[in-house]
Amino acid sequence: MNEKIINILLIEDDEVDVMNVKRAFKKNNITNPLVVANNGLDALLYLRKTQHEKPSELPRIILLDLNMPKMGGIEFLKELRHDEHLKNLSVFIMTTSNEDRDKIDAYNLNVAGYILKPLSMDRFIEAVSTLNNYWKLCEFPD
Amino acid sequence: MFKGIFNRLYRINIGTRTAFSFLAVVIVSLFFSVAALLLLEYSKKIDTKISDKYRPVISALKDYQSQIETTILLSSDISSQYNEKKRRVLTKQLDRTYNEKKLTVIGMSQEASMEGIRLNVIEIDGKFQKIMEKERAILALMKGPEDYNDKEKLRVSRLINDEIEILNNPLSAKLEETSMEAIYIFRKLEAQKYASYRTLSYLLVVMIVIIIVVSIFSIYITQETIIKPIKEISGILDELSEGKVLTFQSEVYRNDEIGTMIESAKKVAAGFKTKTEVANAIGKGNYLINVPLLSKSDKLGKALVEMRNNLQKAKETEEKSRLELQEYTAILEKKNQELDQFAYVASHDLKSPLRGIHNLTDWIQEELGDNLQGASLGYFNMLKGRVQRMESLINALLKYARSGKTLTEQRILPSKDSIIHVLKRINPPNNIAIYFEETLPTVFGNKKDFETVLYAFITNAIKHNEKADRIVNITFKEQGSEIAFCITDNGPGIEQEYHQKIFGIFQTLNRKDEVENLGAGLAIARKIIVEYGGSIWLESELGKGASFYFTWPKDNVTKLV
Repeated sequence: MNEKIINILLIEDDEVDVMNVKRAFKKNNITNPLVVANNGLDALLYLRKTQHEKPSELPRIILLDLNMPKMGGIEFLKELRHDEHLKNLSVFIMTTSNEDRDKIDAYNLNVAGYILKPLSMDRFIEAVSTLNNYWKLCEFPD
Repeated sequence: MFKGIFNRLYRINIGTRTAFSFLAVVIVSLFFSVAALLLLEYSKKIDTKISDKYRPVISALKDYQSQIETTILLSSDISSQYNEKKRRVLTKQLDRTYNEKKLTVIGMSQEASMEGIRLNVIEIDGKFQKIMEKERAILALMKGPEDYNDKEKLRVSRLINDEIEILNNPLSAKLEETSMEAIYIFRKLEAQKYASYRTLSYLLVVMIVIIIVVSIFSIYITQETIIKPIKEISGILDELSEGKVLTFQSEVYRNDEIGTMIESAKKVAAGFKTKTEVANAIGKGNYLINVPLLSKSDKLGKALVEMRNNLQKAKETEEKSRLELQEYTAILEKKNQELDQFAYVASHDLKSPLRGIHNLTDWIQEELGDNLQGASLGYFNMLKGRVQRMESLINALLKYARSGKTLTEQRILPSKDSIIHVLKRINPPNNIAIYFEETLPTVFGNKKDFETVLYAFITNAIKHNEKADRIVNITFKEQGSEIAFCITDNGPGIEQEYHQKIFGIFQTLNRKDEVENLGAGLAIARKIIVEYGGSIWLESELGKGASFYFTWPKDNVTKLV
């Protein structure tokens, strides 16, 4: 069961944050392939293309930032949930926004979790570790 | 009963009426005066007549009579006895005095009414001439004392004397009659005089009566036709002046001065009424109304026009400033919203690079590992501390920008429940005693807003207190449509000069690098309270604890609706 490798898509525009996630993955010995998209639009293009060409490589987990250029997180989520092939993907919001409005909008679009980016690296590593445990525990359809 | 007469009178001017009555009085007085004067003149004439003519005639007649009687007496004496003195007197009287007296009577009785007396005197004189002849005969016969010794002469003398007696009898009767006639005429004149005096007195009585009647009548007419209407008009004018009535109604329709006065009063009343209507219309905001001017110098009208124009100007100015204020308020609201939005966006965008800096610092520290030592390690930790504080500040700023009155979910809140809820959230340490009353009032508002405010005050009361046994007391007081809450602590207290300052954002009286104490809680509480229309203040002295007050709307029924 553990051998099943799940692709993870990180949608994040900040280079440091991308590095942060990569470092956290490394620290937690997470070997899942990590694909990075710089905004919602790129992410959608990638997902549709992969779903079309190599459906087996389609990431089941998406880590999504909210504030991004071109297409923001909430906008991306709306598109995703309307897409017949992509609407069942698990999305975790990873953001700096502590606004109720954002939280409510996100959960209304069926996100799996809403995580505030902590300031310290250690706490972020902890958070990613927890996430890893979570998705390792879950079963996904083939 | 005089209505008909009065109505006819009202057609004539009072001036004309007065002139007519004055003329009538003058004519009546003149008539009576002339009549009295004529009567007086008449009686005076009679009086003059009596004194000038009749009295002398009567006395002359008496003289004449006594003259005749004296001569007869004298001749009778002389006829039988000698008396020189009597003889001389008789001679004298027969020669001169008698004629004198007779002519006096005749001369005096030339008046027509005394024709009878004159004729009688002439007749008497005719008869007396005969007596005088006999008397002269006696005188001629008896010249001296010796003649009286002669018996024949004495006999003749006595015989003559007897003849005189015979002649004298009818004569004296006639004389008596004449005298009586004169007295009768005199009496008649006297009677005429008295009659005229009586007439005069009657005339005076009649005149007085007429004057009294005329005076009473004219007073009555004046009372009825002038004083009564004037009183009525002045009464109505009084009411008009006191503002009780605005119309002038009179039953009297007349053409005289009173009528003119009533018409003028009616005009005044109508003017007042129009002015009042105009003033009312102006008062109700009709500034387009035309103010009717009664004349070019209608001061009240001009004042109204000025009032209307000034009010119109004032209203225009007010409207203008109201619009300006509205515009300004809208702009201000927009600016505030923009400011909040700006604070939110700015702080949000500030957070990403900050996190980047923090991460990079971490990584550098990680890479360097043990190579990072001494002061450099300290600087690194200080750097991270500052970055963390900046994130806290940005978070607080975000919270402040987002805070305020929440317009949704406004309802009745039991304040006690809110306090208990907040205390559970704070979870205060064991050495703090928090007191509040068993029954606390209900308030009206958004639960989260109210609890944010309570949270800020209670944490503020706990946070700054370093005593071993900390006490927080929560009380309340009703204040009109609001509830004033008071949160008292036994902490260090706050100096007067900082009382306003501590409600500003990031204003804290402690050191800047204490992460826990950002100074945003009270600022957020103040923002919420002010937006609910309440106020916030504190009473405190250094070393004597502090009492923080804030007011919150009551659970008014009107606000529920």
